[in-house]
Amino acid sequence: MATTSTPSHTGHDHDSPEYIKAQVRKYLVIGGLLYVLTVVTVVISYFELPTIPTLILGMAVALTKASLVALFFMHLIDEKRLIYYTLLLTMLMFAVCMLVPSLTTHSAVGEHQRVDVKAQGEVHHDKPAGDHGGGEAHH
Amino acid sequence: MSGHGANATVDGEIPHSVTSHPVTGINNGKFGIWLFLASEVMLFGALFSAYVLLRVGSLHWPTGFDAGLNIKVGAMNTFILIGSSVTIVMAWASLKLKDFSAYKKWMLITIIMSCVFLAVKLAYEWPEKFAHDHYPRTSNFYALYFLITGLHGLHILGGVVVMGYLLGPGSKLWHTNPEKLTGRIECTGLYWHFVDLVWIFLFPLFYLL
Amino acid sequence: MSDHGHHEQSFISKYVFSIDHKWIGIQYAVTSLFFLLFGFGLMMIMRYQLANPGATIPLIGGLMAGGTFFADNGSLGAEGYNMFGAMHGTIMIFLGVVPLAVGGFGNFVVPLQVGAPDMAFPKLNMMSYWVYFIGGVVMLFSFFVEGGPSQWGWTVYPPLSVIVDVGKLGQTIWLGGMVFLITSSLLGSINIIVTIVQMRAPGLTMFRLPFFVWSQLVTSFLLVLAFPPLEAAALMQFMDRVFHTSFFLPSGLVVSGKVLEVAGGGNPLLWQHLFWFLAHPEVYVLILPAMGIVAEVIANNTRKPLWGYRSAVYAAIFLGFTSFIVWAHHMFMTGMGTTMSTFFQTTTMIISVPSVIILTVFIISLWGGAIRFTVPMLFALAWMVMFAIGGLTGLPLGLTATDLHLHDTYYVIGHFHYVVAPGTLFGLFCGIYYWYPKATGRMLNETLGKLHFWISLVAMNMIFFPMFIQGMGGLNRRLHTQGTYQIGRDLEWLTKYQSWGTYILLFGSAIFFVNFWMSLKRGKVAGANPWNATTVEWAAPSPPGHGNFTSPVTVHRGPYEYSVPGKDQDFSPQFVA
Repeated sequence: MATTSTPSHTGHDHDSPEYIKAQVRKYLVIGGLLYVLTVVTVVISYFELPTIPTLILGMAVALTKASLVALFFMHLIDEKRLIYYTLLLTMLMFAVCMLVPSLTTHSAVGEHQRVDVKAQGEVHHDKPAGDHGGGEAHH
Repeated sequence: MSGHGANATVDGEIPHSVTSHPVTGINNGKFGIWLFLASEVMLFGALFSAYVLLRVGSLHWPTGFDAGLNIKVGAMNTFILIGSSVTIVMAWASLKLKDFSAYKKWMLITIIMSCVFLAVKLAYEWPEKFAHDHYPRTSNFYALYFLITGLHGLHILGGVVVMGYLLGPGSKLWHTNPEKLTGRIECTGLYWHFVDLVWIFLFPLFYLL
Repeated sequence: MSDHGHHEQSFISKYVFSIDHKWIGIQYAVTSLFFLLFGFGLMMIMRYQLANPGATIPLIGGLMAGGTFFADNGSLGAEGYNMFGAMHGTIMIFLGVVPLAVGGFGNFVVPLQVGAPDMAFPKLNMMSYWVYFIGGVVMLFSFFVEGGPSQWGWTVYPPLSVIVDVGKLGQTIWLGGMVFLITSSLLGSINIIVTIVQMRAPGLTMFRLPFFVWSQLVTSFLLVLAFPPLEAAALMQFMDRVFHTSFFLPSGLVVSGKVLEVAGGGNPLLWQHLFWFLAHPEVYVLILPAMGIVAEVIANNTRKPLWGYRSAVYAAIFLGFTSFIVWAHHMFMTGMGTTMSTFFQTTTMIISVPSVIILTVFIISLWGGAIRFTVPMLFALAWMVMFAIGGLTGLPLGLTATDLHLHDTYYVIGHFHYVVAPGTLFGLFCGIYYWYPKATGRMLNETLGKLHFWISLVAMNMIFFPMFIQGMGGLNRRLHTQGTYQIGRDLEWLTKYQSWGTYILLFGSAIFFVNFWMSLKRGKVAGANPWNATTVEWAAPSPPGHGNFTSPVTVHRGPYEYSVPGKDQDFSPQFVA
């Protein structure tokens, strides 16, 4: 990343002391924000909410923190297209790896109609013989 | 053939090892480390995928609290790791500002903070679990907890080794090729922020949910 | 050539821990050829057992009778058969083909074809080779531990691979070996991607790159993104075996009449998903470099540009991308719902399209060409037919209705061996005959080369074609004694010809082996460009020195400017002004 001191396409001289010092100030602010969000995470735990709301809140905070780290500490807000495309491809494959196995083994995708089960007044859905190890996913 | 004119002195034999490529706008090391991080995303991603599959298919999955995970200790470790992300950025900035001794100071602090993180995990949190007879074999929650935090810890250890090298013998590069050393610290920083990023997800996933 | 003073390198730094991509490529190639031979040896013994059930294995059966692998009479035991089978697959894929295709050809050819002095990270390159070597040693070591090596197929599905742990250290060692091999692959592919993107010579735009370089680029992206999930899975299986976790063990599993004392709650399908998430892109890792090599050789030996170069490039990119979303066609029989199996069936049908496009590009490239039947060209031409058979036989496996009948039968083995053996391996032999002069400065002997080619072609078809018949008849795979089932007894007569095929193939391979070593000193001296080719590697001397090129390389045109009207030569190299 270290070129000789020609101005970058954004018009900043990425090597000037003023620019670096401004970046440092930004990093300290982001660091502070991350600390605040960590406290928020701990506070969420004290509410002892059910799983789904906790999951949503917790992951939302985590995503915010992760975005701050990625965009600012890792300079992604200012990065070159090559890196963006590489990461886009990676995120796509990450999503596939995360979601598809569960979709495939969770046999509710496919034949079984939830309607029948609900009509029987049961809260959890029955899994057929093709399932393994677990049963209802209740918390 | 290496180098085009002035860049050859900085790059050495390998074009764009330090200087930016005119079209892509980055140097080799930066692209290389991002590709490595892409593979790391897939590595931890597969483990998160296992978490999703096993949790959704499970009859009973404890919350972090039920499993005996101390969220305050986890939060403290989070503060430490985020702090080390800030300090490594300070180390890089020091080199950009040509302040070599500040660089060494910030690097040392980063290493120390990382070691504290590891110590809290390995000398307190894990033994505390073992003392309560919670081992990886006890349940899939613990199996995943120990595996993922263990793998994460190994990544921290690897980072510490690299940082130690760049603080010690590797820092001599400052005198012959300062731009190259700065580039290396930037790449190390990228790796380190990624390690921080993984923890940012691990912390709520195990301690909170 | 850049002079940095003439510092004499020690033997160790020049030949053992070399950071020169050419030598590292040769290290990968020679090492992988030995592993290919070893894997082939395992298979010869297995084929002998299949053709002569319960008979003493010639030569070694007597020596090793009663050990881990052989029964008291020196025949290959049932467990030994499974061990050899699992290790044959593992060794051929991870220690043989991929290191040769990517580590060998990728390392040697890519920097030369892009006009670079070396790879982007030479020291990392050196480390990648040695990590591969260590991984290979670890895998071989597993043969010698008590209980022998892994024996549950190269796919090592749990629960079976997890529950058998008393005295069976071999599987745990397999997992450790895989971690080394995966690490080596990851580092190597990062190196290749950065080299291709960042270090092309002036004038070498992406669409002036030889198709071989494109194939290596796509292959490397597959390795970077697909391998880590297998590493994660290997770690989990390691924990299941050593720390008695239950990642893959469901609750209530009964083994030998007793309920297994583990926490349970695990899922064997988790392994299958993570394994195949890698292993499907892995098969494209196996074929893409071979496609790249065949493209180079076809253009060169037809004295015509490659027809449809852009289509082939886009097809290769699309192939790579799609390869990530087809994996569960290896899992059609695991009980997934019809929605997901339809999804995977559809994507699998779609992925046959880019393969066909690439093959079509090659076939049409022959039209109107002045074909030179050099040894590389013979392999390239045969590759096209063999790959067509391999590819077509994949279609019934990708369609769920027919896969029902064919899954886990010999049909599958026939399909994938056609694409990998007379497919990829022919592509790699093609590359060896083509680039040997560049690497060594000498030509391989043409007569011996042609003998090697014809013998291999006949032998491979003798071995693998009957498998389609056996599979369609219902004979299942991984079966020590085919006569266990009636269908095996009915088709047993085929096994005799299959094992003759292995002897003939051994003979052909011996000819190649002799040619390879003999030509180092006795081969016809080759100049810089013995094939009158157009791509940049032929600008360098044969063999290239440190830094590769004697003067800076600039690229002026596309990669396959053959028979350009108005020129006095039938080829216009990229690197000549």
